[in-house]
Amino acid sequence: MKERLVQIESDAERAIAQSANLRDIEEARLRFWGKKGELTAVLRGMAALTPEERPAAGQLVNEARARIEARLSEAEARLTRLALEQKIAAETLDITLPGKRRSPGHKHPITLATEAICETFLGMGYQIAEGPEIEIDHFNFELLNIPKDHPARDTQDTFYIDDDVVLRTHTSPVQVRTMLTRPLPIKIICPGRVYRVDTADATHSPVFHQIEGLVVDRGITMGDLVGALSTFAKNIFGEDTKIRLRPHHFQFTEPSAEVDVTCWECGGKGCRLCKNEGFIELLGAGVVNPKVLKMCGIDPEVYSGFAFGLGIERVATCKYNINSMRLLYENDIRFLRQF
Amino acid sequence: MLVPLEWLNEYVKVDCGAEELARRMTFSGTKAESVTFLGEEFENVVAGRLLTVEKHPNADKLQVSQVDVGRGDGASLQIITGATNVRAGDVVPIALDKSRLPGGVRIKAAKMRGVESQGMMCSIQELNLSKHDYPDAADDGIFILDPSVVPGTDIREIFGLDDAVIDFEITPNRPDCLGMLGIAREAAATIKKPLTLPPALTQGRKSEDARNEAQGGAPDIAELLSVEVRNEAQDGAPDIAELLSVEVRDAALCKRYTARVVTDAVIKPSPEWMKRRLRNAGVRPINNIVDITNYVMLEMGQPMHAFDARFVGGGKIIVRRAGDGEVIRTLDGGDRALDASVLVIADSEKPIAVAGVMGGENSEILPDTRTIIFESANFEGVSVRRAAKKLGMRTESSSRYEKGLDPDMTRAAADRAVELAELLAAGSAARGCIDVYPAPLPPARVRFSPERINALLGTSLDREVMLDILRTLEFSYDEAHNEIIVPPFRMDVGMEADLAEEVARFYDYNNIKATLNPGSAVTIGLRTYRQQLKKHVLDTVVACGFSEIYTFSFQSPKVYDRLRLPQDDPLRCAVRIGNPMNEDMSLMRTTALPEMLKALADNHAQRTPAAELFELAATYHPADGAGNAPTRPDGSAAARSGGPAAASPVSAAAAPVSEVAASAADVAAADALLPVQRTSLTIGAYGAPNDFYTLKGVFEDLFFALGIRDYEFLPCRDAAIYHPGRAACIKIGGKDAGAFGELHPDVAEEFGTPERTYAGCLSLEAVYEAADLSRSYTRLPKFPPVPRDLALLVDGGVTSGELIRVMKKAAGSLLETIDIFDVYTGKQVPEGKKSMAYSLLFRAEDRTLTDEEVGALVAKIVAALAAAGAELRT
Repeated sequence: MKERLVQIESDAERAIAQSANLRDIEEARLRFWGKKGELTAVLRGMAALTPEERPAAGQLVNEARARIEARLSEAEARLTRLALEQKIAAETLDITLPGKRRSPGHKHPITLATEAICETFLGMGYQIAEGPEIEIDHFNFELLNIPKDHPARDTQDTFYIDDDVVLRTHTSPVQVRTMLTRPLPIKIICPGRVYRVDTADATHSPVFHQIEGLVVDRGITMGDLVGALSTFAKNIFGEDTKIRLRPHHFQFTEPSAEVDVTCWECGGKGCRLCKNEGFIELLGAGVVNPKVLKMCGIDPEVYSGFAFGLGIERVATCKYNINSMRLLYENDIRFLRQF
Repeated sequence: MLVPLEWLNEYVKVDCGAEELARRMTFSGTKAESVTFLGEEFENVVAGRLLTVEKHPNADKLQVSQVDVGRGDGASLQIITGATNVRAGDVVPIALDKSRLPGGVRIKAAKMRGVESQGMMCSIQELNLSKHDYPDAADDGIFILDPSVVPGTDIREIFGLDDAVIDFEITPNRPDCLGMLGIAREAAATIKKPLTLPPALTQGRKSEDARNEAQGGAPDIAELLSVEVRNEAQDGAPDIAELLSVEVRDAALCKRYTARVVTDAVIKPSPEWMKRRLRNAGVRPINNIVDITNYVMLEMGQPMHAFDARFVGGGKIIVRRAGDGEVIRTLDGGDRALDASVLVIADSEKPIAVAGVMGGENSEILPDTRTIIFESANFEGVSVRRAAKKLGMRTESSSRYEKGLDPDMTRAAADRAVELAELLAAGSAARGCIDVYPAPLPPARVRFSPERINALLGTSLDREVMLDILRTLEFSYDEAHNEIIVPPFRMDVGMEADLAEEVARFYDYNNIKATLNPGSAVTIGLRTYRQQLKKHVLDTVVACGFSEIYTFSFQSPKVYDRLRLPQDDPLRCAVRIGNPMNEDMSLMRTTALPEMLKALADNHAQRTPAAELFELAATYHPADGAGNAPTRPDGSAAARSGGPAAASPVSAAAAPVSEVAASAADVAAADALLPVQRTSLTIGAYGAPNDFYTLKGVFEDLFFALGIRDYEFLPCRDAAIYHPGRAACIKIGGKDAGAFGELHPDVAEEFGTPERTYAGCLSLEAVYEAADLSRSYTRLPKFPPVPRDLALLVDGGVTSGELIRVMKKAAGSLLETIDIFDVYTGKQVPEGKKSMAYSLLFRAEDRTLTDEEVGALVAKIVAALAAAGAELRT
């Protein structure tokens, strides 16, 4: 029997060594271990042995079986690994084929710019205020210190519905409405659509969008205005952006300023985009005119504030390098897909 | 405001160059728009005297000339010309070899028919000068210059083009800067140089014969203007009182009227120096008297007018409102119908000028005018503005008056005009001056509080620093009252904030330190619930693959027919713009659909195979439902011309600007009257794989994202915009919220979209109302589901919605979901029928369902379906 076992073991070793795949291993296992397997037969043959012979013989068989089984397992693991490697090798993809895209749509650049600006000011504790686009003259002009027949009206060619109702020429009436209805302190931005009589071209449009800001509280200074705008400019145009103020005139602020930001093309060195100025004009701002505060029921002896306003199209065209405002309203999907 | 540097230099010596001045002025508050160097297009163009003019040996039509161009070696140049108007002795412009003319034209020496020409003689056109300015110049030939011009003189010097002109943007609050003096004051303060006032404002002048001012060449203007001329009459001159009387009948509209008279006038062109200054400041010279009025206006900012005294009937000027029906022919030749809103200058019978706007033809300066009345008046700004607008003639004068001028300067301006008349030998001053100024304005005074100025600016400037800045600007300080006294020409300064601005702009805004409201309470920056919802809508629709568009809010009245809307459709009721850009942009849109269709059509026209677009669009609806409905056929046009009598309730609610502050009640009152503004999600798509269900899917995704459950889609057969069999109405909470579908082929054709185009609108107000962003977790099921599929054969007209209703009702609560997975017509399905296949999922919360239980439910469902006419396919 011992010889038989040695024979079986060497046969098994050979069979395992010759196995090329998992099926061969399975076959080998059946050959030695199946119901009619050679090792099984040896085990069955043990019945013929005397009880004294059985323990030693049993041990021999068990040892042979353990060795064969270990060989089988080892070979099986090796061939499993091999099979996997072959499978992986066969499954190589052409990764240059296009991806399967869900293709979400695109937000309009005006929306993107609006959101970017809003996020900046929300982060500084401002709230977003809104108001109607068709507005009474009184809120759009008069309470902003622009009485009827005032020459300052010439700078904002107005669409009139009738003598007392206009298409708002700026989002400033939202500031007025806020001052009239909300408790102090006020810290708002007012994004929205505005209208001026203007033929559409690369830099003009009869319909456009603005964001204005208003802060009213005790002790608000022009320095706070500079701080707010410089934070805004850095957030929108990059950390290195600087602002520059030039004195100007607006009826609803005093002192008033036009505000430039460093040119994003050249970083302030001077280039064609900024006409060698190093700066690009971006917005208007100032300290709220005490007359405006007073007309809106706020005591200018106690409170002060600042306000600013900018065109969103201007920010969008600047930020996204769009060469004409017209593109924003042509809605060509080849344009929209770029955002 | 065009400011020639040469002129400005009369009052302040600018030693930093035009560009540097422009830059510094911009940062002290007078923005320079541009700097133009007038003669920069000329190079190497000089005056030359023709020594000889002879026929060209080889060409009949050419002449050869030896020309003295003032060369140091005395050598002359040989120049050939085709012109025939030149003779020996003439002085003409010569473009030398390697010279440059306007338009970038370069001239080089060349041989013409074998003879060398070392340059070119120039015509007025080649010099790009105006025939208006030089009427004597030949139309067709060489420009013959004044014979006194020295050969070799640069052409720029001859024509006053050796100057730089800065164009300043003057804001409406600074009419004082619409005069050289105002600019000079700002410039002096900016570059810290002394200011020299013009002679009319100085005292003690010596007399000199100023009538020798030069013609041609380039006189030293500074020298000319420094000669001290009387503006007071000589002995024996007539007294103005003998010649003129003035009556101001409306002192509210005419705060001051100053008149001076010049006798023995000689009307002729102004001297070259004055013409040059006017021209370089953008004003056409006319004749000496008119030029003087313009010169004084440009110098001092005070509009002037000159009347021929012959035509002032009765020797009396009356400042009054026009009578209704009165007509005046103004200097520009137009007949102007006047009414009582217009202030006029009249004689005893008729209007002779529209006050502050334009003079009348009936009293204008003529070549034979002998006695001149100079008017220097202060008219009230709003009335001048209204008159100018009403008559459709805004002038240099009216645009100054409307900003509100300083009444203090009329006298000085009148004296200056007379002084210039003497200087130009245009006439002799009559004695005295008529000056009607019933209520002189006291100078404005403003409390001086350096602390408050610092508090407003966020600075810590010394009071002396502030006072220094203010004094430079001619403000003075009344220490006793601690008040700043505002100079009369600064009509824009009247409160503390104005002083703060004066201080800040000369301190330089950019020296103010940035802070972030250090003294203010912390505020919370958050979107409101509505704003969050709107962002959700936007984000969801974008995630669904749709791209956002922006369109104008205007609408054409024709669009309703193009959309096939019925005549009584409420969308036809729109807010009309009183002064639209054009008829196609005359209404405020009531639907954004047309603009969406246009965007789709435009993309289609670009051969974009497919597009998915949306807009969160505002629409506008008359508050009273009237709009441009037949009840108000001409819409707001009537309201606009209605005038003050037709004061609307809005203006009643909003009292005129006054000391009384507005209040929250005014906002409510305004909102009650203003048109209603709504927002809709307008959506559109064409091209594969888009279809009706693409749009429906977007709405479903949107409702899911916003937690809206109570919605349904109903067939929409009567919306004329859509294909009657391929449209749905959207109901949220049982209320109409919108509609969408495939465009009706007629509408698609009308708008130029592809045949199969899908579009729709959903009211965002309805969405916001129903939205529910609250979420509550439902525990995941513990027991497995049991699936069953059912294939049904039904009539072609049966909808899936009906079948699902039947199945749900029959199955009860153990039926978890029903999904349709196939709709089929064709082979194996009888004509007129369709096959609909559903996958049903059953589940109980508390146990695993048995086959028997599910079998029983399915049997119930099948029975109910059979009763509803749906047969089980096997």
